[in-house]
Amino acid sequence: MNWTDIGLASLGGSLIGLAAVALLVTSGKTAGVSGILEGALLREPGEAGWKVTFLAGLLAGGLLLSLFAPWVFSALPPTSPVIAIAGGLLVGFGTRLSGGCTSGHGVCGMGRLSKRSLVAVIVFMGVGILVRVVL
Amino acid sequence: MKLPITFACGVVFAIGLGISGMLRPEKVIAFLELRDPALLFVMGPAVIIYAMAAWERRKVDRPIDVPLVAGAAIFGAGWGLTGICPGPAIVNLVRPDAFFVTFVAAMLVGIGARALVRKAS
Repeated sequence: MNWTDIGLASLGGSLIGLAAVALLVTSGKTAGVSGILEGALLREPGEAGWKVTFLAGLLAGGLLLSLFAPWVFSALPPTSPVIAIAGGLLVGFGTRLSGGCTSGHGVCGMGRLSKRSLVAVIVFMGVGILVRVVL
Repeated sequence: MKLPITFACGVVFAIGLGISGMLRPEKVIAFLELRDPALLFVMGPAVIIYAMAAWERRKVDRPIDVPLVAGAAIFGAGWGLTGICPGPAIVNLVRPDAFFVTFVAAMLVGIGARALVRKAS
């Protein structure tokens, strides 16, 4: 890790923070991607509209990146479908049981100084590290 | 109309994920293997910026309970296994890659399963 990496990480993190702040200030909503996905998937009354819109923005941002900065994506993404299915199920179920993911708990919850979110972040990072150590 | 702003928030959020390196699962895995601290430099500014704006909006927290901790542990297991969390999973869908499509399909099943369990209980 060099200064360029740290600079890019901080710049990217700042953009994530600013986007989440803009959503909070303009709509009073929390930029938690797992909750946004749930609301869009279940067509939550009164919420699905902005949630689908935010998801469309994420995809549009991804398209811009793939056009102008394709290096931000992996050259060699993982391939095992078993890992993809197991990982997706765990991430989907776990984030909704816990009420947030890296964005909802990690950025917005921690930013609100929520103790629940702090506990969630410590647990999901701890377990994530544990899984890597065991694997 | 707020929706164009909401759309722009999604765009900037995705670009932030890209610039920060968090769209690459191997980068997240390197963090979880304690080989690359980059994720801390992503979360740090994001949390600080959010905290400055959200200071007036702090809420009284619900108590810490079993679903919070168990869910975070389950999420952590999936995150550690793949290096992917929900935001990067969605943004990576713009690439024609079977892994991410499979991951997101399974993630939606997981989200739906949690909703079903909640309805039943």
